[in-house]
Amino acid sequence: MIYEDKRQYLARKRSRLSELTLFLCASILSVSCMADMLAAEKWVNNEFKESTLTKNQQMKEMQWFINAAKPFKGMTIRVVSERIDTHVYEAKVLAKAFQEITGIKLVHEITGEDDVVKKIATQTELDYSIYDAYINDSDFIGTHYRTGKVVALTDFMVGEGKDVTLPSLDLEDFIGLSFTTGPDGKLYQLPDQQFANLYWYRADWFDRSDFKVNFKKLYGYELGVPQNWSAYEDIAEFFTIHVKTIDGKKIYGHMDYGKKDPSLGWRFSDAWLSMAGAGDKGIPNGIPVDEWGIRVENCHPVGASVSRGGALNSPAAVYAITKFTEWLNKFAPPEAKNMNFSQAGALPGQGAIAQQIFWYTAFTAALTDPKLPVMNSDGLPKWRMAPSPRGPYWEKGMKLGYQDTGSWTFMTSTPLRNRKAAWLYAQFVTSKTVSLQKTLIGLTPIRNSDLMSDKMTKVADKYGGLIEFYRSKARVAWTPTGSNVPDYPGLSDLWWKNVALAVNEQLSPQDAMNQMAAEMDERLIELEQKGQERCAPKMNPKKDESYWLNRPGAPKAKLANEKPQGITLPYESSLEAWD
Amino acid sequence: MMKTYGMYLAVFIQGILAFPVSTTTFTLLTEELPPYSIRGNDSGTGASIDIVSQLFTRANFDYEIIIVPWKRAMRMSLSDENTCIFPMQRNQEREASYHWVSPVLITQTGFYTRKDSPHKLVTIDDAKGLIIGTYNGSAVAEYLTSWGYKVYMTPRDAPNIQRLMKKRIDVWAADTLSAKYLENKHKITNMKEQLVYFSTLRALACNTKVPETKVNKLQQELKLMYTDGTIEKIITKYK
Repeated sequence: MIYEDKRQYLARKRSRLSELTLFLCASILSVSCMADMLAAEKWVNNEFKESTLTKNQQMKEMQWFINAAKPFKGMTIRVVSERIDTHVYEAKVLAKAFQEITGIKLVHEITGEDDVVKKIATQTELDYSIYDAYINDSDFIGTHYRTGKVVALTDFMVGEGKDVTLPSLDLEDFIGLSFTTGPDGKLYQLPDQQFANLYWYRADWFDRSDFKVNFKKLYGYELGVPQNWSAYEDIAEFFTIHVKTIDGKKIYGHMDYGKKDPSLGWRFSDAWLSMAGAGDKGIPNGIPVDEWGIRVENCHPVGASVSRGGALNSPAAVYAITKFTEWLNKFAPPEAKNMNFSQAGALPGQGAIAQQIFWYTAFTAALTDPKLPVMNSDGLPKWRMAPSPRGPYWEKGMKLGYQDTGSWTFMTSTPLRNRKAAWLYAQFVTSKTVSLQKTLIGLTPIRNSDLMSDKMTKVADKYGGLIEFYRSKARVAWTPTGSNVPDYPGLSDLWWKNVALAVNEQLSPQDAMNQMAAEMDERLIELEQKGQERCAPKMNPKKDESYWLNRPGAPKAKLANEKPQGITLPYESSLEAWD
Repeated sequence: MMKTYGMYLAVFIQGILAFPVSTTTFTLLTEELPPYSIRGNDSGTGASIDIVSQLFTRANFDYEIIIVPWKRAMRMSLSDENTCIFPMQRNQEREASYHWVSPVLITQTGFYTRKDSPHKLVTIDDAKGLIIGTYNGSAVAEYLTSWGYKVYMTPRDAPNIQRLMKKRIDVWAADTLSAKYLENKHKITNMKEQLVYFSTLRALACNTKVPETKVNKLQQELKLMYTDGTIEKIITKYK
């Protein structure tokens, strides 16, 4: 099509869209409808260009939002989320679009993840409505299911919220619904963004023939994507100790963070113990022992310490903490020990890190900045992400890594009218009109239709393996914290406060985990005494640890050899290994 | 006689020991920030002073409230035993540095402009590139700086309303209750609240040497103050 013809074609297309707008508004004889639809048309044409819907379908969705929002026009709605690229886009762009289209003033606050946790915990505890909705990680599913303070969306969508539920929402298209569904089969949260914690590495360095030859000489197997922690450790040692510098610059075979800070907590609760193999088999989280080491029987948590059947201070857990500390001290940049999550996030992009075992794909967009030394001049990354290596205690059938699912959560303490208006916004930012464009900006996919779209196929090679991971079967083994954890905000601080003692060498890893397990059991006992709406803890009596360690499953007895032979695979095979 | 006297003395000492006397007096530091904390007789008044005073009275802990500049209050609360600062924003960066009793207040921060300002602030992004006034050491300043905003800081917040009126700043980022108080105090009629962009949990942040048992006791009392309406009553008095 020549340029002039293309301009005429686009003009005809826009004209047809405007005709649709006129038709839809004429149908209800509304001037304000016209203004709202023109605003919708502007946003669909200029911002929401990438969508799995046709333009007509997008406009029909927008019409629905305009009609559904009428009773709430002029209200101010307040929501909150953590600070990642996807939510920044929502706060700065989508909130404005929603406001212009629906007339509902939407304030989307952005804050640190820990602050979101504190705020939702405060609203739960005090029944005091701070926000009309939260984008809260589905790690809270066990908490929300038990407190009775969170609206079950399954009930809301057919009951009080029926008139504000988008007919084209298409729940089956969401890839993360199993994470936000309680043990009672009800949906408690609607996914807004998802990202995984994967293995990140410099593919260009791994492809160098001199490194390949030297690695094989030293370790007896190929340099490739590590499949187990033994290989990860060997590769870390190889780059930090043996390679040491590349082009005169000091390089490291490992990156992590160790500052005593709330972010040290999710470094571990985001499935470090299950990566080592501490829990039980069973997707999504391990049955009966999950990645926190909490044992559950008939939906009731019964203990975290080995003496009660948990695995929080088990040999596998102690191994996991030991390796974390050892690698941080031996192979990571010296400043890493005093960094928190946010500070450490930028380092792989600076070009001195060969691999990182614990890396959130939420950093993908930031690492594709063309100015970074980890990007090629053709716009493709020098790095890849791949399924994480697993520790010696891990067995097939277990969950492996962590997947974050930031999800729309509505509290019973929020007035119904506000809740309905906020639900409209939640559906707007996850609708098929918006979701593909949002995914291309923030790279946190939530819909299968977006993942499988032609657009995603076209851009996949820019993102270092993100799309390939999400399209693969490996994805199923990466899950958020599950329903074994009965009070996430009430228990999560135990992670960073106790693991920090091991990191700072104030306690040995065994002593730190013994202390943590004892404290967690104390809090579970308090919960048992206080009670919960459903499935409160029912603590096991303490037994000699050998009783539990000698039984099959978690807690697992100490392995005679915690460093088996390292195993690596080429990148493509590392994904196929999950088929 | 001596034996009787000795017996009485022993009973007296046992009696004293049976009733533990707390000799700890907490030092509670805050800054002058009307209407949250206003200098006056004794420990002053204001929404946060009233809340914290009631909290310690209900917990049966001795205390003394002192108003000092905020940065000094932060230094002292980190270094001195039995010292707490309020109302401190509870955030991830500070979490490990204190023992927290939270929230003593839930506050909101807004962007204020002159009514005749050409700037329309619908999202926080609309403030980018504008000169925003706030004050040293404040959570507001920290937050906006982290987003790369042009922030003009002063030692205290109160003068910023005049800076706004004199067009020395484009936007004033301020606590909504404080802004209202200063607007009324200075009889300002040309100010507009454009966007309330952030909510903050403000806590009593105590030195980490304060025993956890005492922190837990304060936290329990605080929860009761919410559920029995005390907090709401105090806030309403200052709105």
